[in-house]
Amino acid sequence: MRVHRRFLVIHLGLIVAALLALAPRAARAQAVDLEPPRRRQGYYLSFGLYGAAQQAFEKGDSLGPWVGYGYALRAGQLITRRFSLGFAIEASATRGDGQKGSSTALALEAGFAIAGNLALRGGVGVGFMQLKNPNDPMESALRGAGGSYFALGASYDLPVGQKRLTGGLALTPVVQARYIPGSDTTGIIMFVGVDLSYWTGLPLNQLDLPPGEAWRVRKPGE
Amino acid sequence: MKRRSAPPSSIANRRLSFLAVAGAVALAGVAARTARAQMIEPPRPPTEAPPRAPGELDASKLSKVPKLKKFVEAEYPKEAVEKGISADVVLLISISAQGKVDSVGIAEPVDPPGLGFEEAATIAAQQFEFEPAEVDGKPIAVQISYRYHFKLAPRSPTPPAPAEPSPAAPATAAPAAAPTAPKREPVVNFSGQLRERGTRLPMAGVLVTVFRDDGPAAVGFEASADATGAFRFFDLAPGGWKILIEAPGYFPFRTAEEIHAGEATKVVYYVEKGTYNPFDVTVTATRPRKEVSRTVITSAEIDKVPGTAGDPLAVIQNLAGVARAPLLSGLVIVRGSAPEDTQYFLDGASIPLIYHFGGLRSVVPIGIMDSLEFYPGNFSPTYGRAIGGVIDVQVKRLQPKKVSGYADVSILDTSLYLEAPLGNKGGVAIAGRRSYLGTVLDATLPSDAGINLTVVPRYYDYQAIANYRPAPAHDLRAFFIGSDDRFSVLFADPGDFSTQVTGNSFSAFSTFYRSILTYRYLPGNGFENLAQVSQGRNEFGFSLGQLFLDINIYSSQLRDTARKTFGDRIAAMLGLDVAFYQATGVVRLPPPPKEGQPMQPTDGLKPSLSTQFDKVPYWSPGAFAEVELKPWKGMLILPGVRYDYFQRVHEGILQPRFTMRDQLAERWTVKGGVGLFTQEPQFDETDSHFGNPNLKSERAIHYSVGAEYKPRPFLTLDATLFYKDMSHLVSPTAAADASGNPKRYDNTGTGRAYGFEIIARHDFTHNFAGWLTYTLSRSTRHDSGATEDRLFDFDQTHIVNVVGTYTLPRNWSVGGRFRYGTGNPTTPIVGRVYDASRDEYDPIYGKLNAARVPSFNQLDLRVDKRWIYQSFMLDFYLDVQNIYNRANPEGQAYNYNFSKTQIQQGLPILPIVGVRVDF
Repeated sequence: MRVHRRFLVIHLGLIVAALLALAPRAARAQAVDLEPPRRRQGYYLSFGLYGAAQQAFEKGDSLGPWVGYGYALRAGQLITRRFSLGFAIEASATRGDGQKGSSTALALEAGFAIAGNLALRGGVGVGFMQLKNPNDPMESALRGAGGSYFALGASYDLPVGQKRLTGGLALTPVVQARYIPGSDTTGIIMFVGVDLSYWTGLPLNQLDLPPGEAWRVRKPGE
Repeated sequence: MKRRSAPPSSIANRRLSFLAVAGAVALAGVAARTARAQMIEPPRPPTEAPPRAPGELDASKLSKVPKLKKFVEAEYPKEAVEKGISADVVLLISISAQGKVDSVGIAEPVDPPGLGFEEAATIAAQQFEFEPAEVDGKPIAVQISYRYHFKLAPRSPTPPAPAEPSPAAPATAAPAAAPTAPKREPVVNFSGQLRERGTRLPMAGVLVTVFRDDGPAAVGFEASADATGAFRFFDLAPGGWKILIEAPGYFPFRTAEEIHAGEATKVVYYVEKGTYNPFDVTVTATRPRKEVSRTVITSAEIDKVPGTAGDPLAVIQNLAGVARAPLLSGLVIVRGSAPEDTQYFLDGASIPLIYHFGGLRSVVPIGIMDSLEFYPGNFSPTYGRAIGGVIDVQVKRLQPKKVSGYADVSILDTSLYLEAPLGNKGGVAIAGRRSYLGTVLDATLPSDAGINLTVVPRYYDYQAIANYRPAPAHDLRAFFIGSDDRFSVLFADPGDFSTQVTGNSFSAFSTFYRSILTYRYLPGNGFENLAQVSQGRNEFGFSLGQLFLDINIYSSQLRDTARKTFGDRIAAMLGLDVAFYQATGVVRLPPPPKEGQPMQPTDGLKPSLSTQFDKVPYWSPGAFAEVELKPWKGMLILPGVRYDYFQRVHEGILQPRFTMRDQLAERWTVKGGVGLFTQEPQFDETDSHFGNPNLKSERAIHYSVGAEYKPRPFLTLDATLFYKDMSHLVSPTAAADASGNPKRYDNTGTGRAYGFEIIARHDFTHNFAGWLTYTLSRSTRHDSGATEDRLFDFDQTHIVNVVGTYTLPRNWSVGGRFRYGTGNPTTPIVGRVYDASRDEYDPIYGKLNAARVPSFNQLDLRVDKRWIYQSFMLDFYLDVQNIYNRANPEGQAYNYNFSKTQIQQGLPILPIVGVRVDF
């Protein structure tokens, strides 16, 4: 019972932290602000590959750390100059002690740029973690946890490729921890890796531009 | 960061275009949330309100229209005088809450143009002064349309004066012609339409600037868009021009156009708003509050409540005084009353149910809703036949400006909505929804489940509305709604379901339709009459082996409410409410368990009773009256009375009701009420086979007292103490009548419900809307023949709801809903008896409702993202229910011999996604 209460406190803490992170930033942007052009602007789409280390707690037993790899697909938008919201699909596969572990998650993700291109990110959503022992022929049922999913991490965007007025490609080193609680099994997975991110940038009419840039002749379909 | 791009310096040298620059300032008045009423001079009652744009207020909501205090005569344009031309200029005048003219714009282009009528009218109107418009006695800013007549007095013919350059001469250059040269008419060679991106609504009063700064002579001109969003430029010189459109709350629109000699260039510009706030359409003023407790939630608020997956009526569960209902039960439990004690209305007409499949989805889609009005008690005499609460869904008053609608696709169903204007005096809309729940189930059921869904679970509903207002005094509306739910299952092995049931099929259906015709007559002399006729059918059925039920009820209702005000202090309302039913049915079932009777495993084994009836009519005429007294400012006293006759139980009851509100100070209001409420027993309870035909109606006296505090205009704190004394409740009894036949039910049940409600509500402002409610309550019943009170089946001591939605930039919004509720009472099983004949155990129950299931708490999150395209908007939402995956209790389950118990868990974490296209 004590364990459950602790986990509940952790859940609530994570959610409240996520909500608090949303609120103060959102309060700012009420008017139609025009932003100066930047690389980290507009919608983003990123794909990441990571090394993973998984620690599971199954009915009081500690399993791990098991190591492996993970990947993620993210899409979202920078909605103020610092704050982003988006969705993430994440998965991982690890092995150790002769057993295998895997996880998948669908999450709502929020990011907050604390300095320049350095951002904190957190997510809540639905996640599943499966444990499997290939050497145990008697293992019949699925083992693992399913339900809530929480993530916390940090990333840094390194712009790459051709310079554009707004948006562009970036390589994004990422460190992240995921937490998937369950009634019998709980998993914590650490990731270190790199995202390849593409920022669309903002339309010209949403940018603070000099007149020479602001009145481009419209292209067909623009 | 600059707020906008700095315009080129040449813009500073802009010249006067054909519309007054001063008038163009009117765009500030078109701010999204400025309330707007329209009237034609002379000011008329605000009943001619044209279709509302986002953020506009229905003019009929105004308690006082603006009155012109100071009129300034415009200077008649000289050229027009000389030519003997008269004209009308329709102005858009923004009036502040102080009655000052904030801005003036041109609503309709003047015919003939270019004579200076618009400029003259604008200059004069800027000097007008008004008595401000009011809502609920409070002055508000409005925007009106004002027709300025320029009419020449008859005069003797005079020789024409020599031609002079027009004040609205071609913008590119002063006319080079000599005074004697023939005057050239200006030619429109660049014109267009301004529309809001996504909604396609015309952008009235917005300035369009054209300029060129790349030549030796930098030059620029401005024009203001009229009420239709049209703008025109005359005689622009050929070549490239830059266009700039800047409106408050919108991203600047910048483009360039090439003007060719001898050609007219026509364009349509779609200007993007900074944020497409879903709350823009919120009606900012509602009917003045009269009741002690009334909660009004607009469709815009409902649409974004987390945990509802966009379902409009799921929000009811989050209101003060409403207990949490068991999962998928579709029950609404108001202030300790039984679910059947609460009545549902659609625009005042009674409907049998509001949910598909026991709460899965409501039968009313968001598109046709205007708001939800919830009365937990002490409601007006206009509502009757309920001793609990009232839920009245207000249907949208259609005033579309264009053909528009939406398509909403979720994992449960798809719905469509389409509305169109009906001339300029009305509108029509159709809507429909179809589920594909069955398809999902079919695909996910394992092949060895032993179940064959012969009719997959499915629901659909459909609606049509037509509004027509041929004249300000006459408002007609026709509304039609239909709903159908059904499913059928074949069991491979009937024993899997129950050994007591013969046959291997289980099917159920529920269907209803209503057509509602409403005529509102507003002659404008303080008199108002609302007549309504509704007609429809309810049919529901159930079949499980040898057990079945099929009931078909035709229902008609006639309502008429007349209201007359006598001065500022007295108003009287008188009404009729007649309901007529005709029931046909066939039933073979065991007697259904009632509230307070724990479900027995042997319920299905009780001897089945059969009954059959054909076209049995019964009716319930009612009448009501209420007087509104305002003896002094802020005080409102509402004595009223309602009479209902229930033909089924042959009883008529006079129900006096009284409520009062007193606004003690600007921010404080106290309120209270007491009244008698009645309802007839359930249909089965008065059936001669299943119940007792000699039953009488049930009664409740509602008492409530409370206070409201409004510390800020957008924040309301409301606290109410309530007490409900229920009597003549239908209660199961083992007694027999004089002939020795079992009575089954009598009217000796009583009950009490009392408690305290707190509501803190934040209207949408500062990007946030939400509310917090807390209800502390206790509800007990005293059954027929019982020696002591027991807890009501759904008694919940503490009920907490916190709901909030925050709008973020770039058309995102996030919301959360947290709910906490004490667990429902349950009757403990204290022993068991083995029945050798059936080889089964029967439970021995302890004291009725003496235990409780554990408490409930759940957090839901919702995220919405809207993408804006030229002529439509795409909304995506993710609604995650039970985000921390709490195993919430829904009841208790026992093993075969009742020696072990286990909590039945409710929904786990559940993500729901949906997409909606608004066009």
